Amino acid sequence: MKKAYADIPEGQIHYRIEGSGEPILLLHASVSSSDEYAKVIPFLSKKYCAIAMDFPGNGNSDPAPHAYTVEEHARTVVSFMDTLGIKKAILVGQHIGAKMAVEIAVKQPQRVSKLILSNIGFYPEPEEGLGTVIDPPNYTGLVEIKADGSHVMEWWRRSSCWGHPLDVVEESFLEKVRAGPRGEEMHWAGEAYDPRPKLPLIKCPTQVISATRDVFSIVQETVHKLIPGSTLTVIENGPIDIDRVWPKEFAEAILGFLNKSS
Amino acid sequence: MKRAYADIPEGQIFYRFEGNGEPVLLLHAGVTSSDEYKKVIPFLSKTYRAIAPDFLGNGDSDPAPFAYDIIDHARTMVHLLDSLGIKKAAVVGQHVGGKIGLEMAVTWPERVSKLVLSSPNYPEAEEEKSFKDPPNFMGRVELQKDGSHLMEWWRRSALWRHPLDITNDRTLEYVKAGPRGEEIHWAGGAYDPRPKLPLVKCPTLVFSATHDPFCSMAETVHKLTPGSKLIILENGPIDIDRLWPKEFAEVVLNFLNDPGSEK
Repeated sequence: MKKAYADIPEGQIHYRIEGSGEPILLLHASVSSSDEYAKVIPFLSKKYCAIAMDFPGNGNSDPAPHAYTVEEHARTVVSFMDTLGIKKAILVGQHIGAKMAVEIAVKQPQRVSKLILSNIGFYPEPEEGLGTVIDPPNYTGLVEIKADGSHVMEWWRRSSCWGHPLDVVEESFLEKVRAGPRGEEMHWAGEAYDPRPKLPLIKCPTQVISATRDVFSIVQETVHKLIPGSTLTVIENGPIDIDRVWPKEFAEAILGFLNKSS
Repeated sequence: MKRAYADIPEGQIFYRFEGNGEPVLLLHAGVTSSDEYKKVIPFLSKTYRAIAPDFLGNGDSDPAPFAYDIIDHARTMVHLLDSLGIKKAAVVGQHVGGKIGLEMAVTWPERVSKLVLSSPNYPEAEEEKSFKDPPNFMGRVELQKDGSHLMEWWRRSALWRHPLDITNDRTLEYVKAGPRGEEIHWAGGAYDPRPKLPLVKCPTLVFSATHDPFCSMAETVHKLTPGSKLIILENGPIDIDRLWPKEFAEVVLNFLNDPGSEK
């Protein structure tokens, strides 16, 4: 796997790439980067050209010029595809990355051949009877840099609250330090975007992946029903950050869908 | 300023670059990265092609395959020049980066046009130690479930009483490098530059700042390096390239531009 930069009008986008064939573009969650797909890519690259980019303000890409919305991030993804000469790709998105993928599939359907939404989220109202999505306390608040270094421990708390193995906690933590105090902007963009009105407009073959231990697992059935002809794949006992923690199972779910729908 | 990767036989080297002209290679200190030169590069890039790589195992370059010594790192820098199609460059090195630059100048003299050693150091006999490292400054730090390793990295970064943003930048370097990060400090500690200095053939500037803990060694390094120049910046801090980027760049530019250093 190689790392590289693409120069797009908005700045430099950092990405990871491996393999050849049909492009499969992997969009990460928040606050994170293409690193979350580092263990997934080797499974996909046997058959596809797997590409994972860092969104502006995350990982090693340039900062966003201002707090980007989901729509603005989606435009960046399309600019990135233009720069790499990719006309059409399979899009995979995790959490907020899935919202960018939906936005592109709806606004620029000619750029998306297939769509894979992993644990895409929304926050249902109580009267919807879906249950409640419970985030850990103060999970997405602004963290300022403090002279005593206590902000570092706050980032550690947020990284370790899911009970992941230590190496995964350290990876998640590094993402927060890299992104810095502006890192949470992407979480806020995600929270402000309700994907439900867009889902019925999706025309391409779509897979909805649900990891049952993900906080958003309770809404995946609804997401599936809103997308015409979509396939729901449930990964029993699958954790949040499934691409980091269960890369093989995650890649197998995707490859299973792609093989069937081709 | 742009960021990019170069593919060398040992892996991918991350680097920052800007400008055209004669190439200037900027080598960073231990457990840091090209980030330390990000405010220096804009001064140099007006007249030079400034290139600042991350050593393997530091910053965003690939990890080193094993604990590299100074000559291993120097070889990767020659491979980087190969990969960028650069025959010869001026080399500027800060702390352990200076040792790596020195090794390049001695082992691959045809690749180094000029050499700048910023606060170079050598291992001192116990009785003549004018500087003691802060306690446990270079010990290995293991990841801990409670995150306490982060406070240790923060402590090492905050020791120098730099502005908060620089302390935070330095902490990020530790997190990126991880538990193996200190290997480059150990490589630097194991390398005595004194036997090599008399072998340097290119124009050389020895440069230090009075608040750098290695300042007192600059005079000896200067005397051992034939025909070298010596500049000491009064009140200049440690991490001078991060803290005083303009002054740092001026010293480097004056030396590089000086026709007297074209020998």
